[in-house]
Amino acid sequence: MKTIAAFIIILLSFVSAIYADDWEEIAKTAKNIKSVSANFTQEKHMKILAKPLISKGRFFFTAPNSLRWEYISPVKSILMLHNGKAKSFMESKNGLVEDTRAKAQAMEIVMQEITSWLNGRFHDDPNFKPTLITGKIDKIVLTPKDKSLSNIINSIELQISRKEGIIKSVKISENNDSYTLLLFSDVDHNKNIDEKFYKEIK
Amino acid sequence: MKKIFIPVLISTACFLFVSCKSLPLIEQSQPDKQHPYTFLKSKYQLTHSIKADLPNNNKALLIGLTSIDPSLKSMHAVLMTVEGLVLFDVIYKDNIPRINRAVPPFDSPDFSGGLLDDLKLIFFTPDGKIIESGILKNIGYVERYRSDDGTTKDVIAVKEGVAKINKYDSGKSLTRTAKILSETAEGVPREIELTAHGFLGYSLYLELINSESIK
Repeated sequence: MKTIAAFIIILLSFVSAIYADDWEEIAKTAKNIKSVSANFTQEKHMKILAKPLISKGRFFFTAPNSLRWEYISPVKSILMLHNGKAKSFMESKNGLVEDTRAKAQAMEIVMQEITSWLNGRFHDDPNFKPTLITGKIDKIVLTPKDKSLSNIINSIELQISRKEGIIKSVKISENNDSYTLLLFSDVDHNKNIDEKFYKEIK
Repeated sequence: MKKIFIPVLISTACFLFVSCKSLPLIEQSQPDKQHPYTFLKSKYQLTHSIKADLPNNNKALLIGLTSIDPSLKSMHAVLMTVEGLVLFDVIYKDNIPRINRAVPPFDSPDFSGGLLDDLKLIFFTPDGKIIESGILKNIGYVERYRSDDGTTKDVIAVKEGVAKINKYDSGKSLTRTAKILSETAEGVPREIELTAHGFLGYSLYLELINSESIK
């Protein structure tokens, strides 16, 4: 899931500054992105749920490899990546505690994905096959290449506003009964983000 | 070698001492008092955050969804990550679990059985009959249930918090403790602490995020 979080951020930074019609343009655009930050609302939809479960948070990204993905409510959780080092914190009875189980291997995959996307190697991704669908609402649809991953995630769909040139939402479908919708707001590009956001909890 | 052996021996002895709590005697029999705790009576859908302290000092933060029908003793339980990825999804009806989804390492039969037992302990009136009720010394009023499989559950009114439910195996050793620390005005458990005793024990702290009464 942390891989997906990183994945979304990179996609967001790709497409949001200038709208692009093909992968080459997207890759070119990505190289101009130095930083991106946004708030997000996460809606979990399931057949079992009487109403969606809403989570809120924010993220920060600075090229080439600094990332903070933070949940603020209903529970607090922070993932930070900086200079190849990953840290994960989660809410406990005694406040935020470091998740020491954060597996080096998983973090390595995250970093590889980030580097790959930043270099515009969209089709080199070992986990997902990307498809660009243009129309009234443009979409990037990512489908898992591996069966073991497709048992967990059916697809990731990014909706792009051509008018505003920003990603409006990301829909992560697990199956017909369950999906997660991420809606972004207050998106900023190429603003200076203090390095401590990627190293410290506060 | 001796330096290592002695602390290990002491900690093992402490562990055995702590983990072998057995069924206590009920000192003053009081059969006519009202129930020490009222379990949910109607259908609810509950969302809890779950902070888990697991063996080997591992910790986890999860979200739990539970749709409960107390009259039928059926439920639909889902465990997911904070990011919304469903790890485990089970429907329990007519005493039969049907697993819709189980992502490793949540795909073992032991896990699903343990999870359902924990949820039943927290949300359902115990199976079986009340075999005794009265006062547990220094604790409070208790109702003792015995089920056909030989397990015993003590439902206890406590001074700090709302109630405590202790589960003992057929050998009368304590295996689980669920503490209802607080509840909503409607009687929905708001804060719950669950402890699995013994080797590879764990503890869960559940905090209510949302509750919906279901018609």
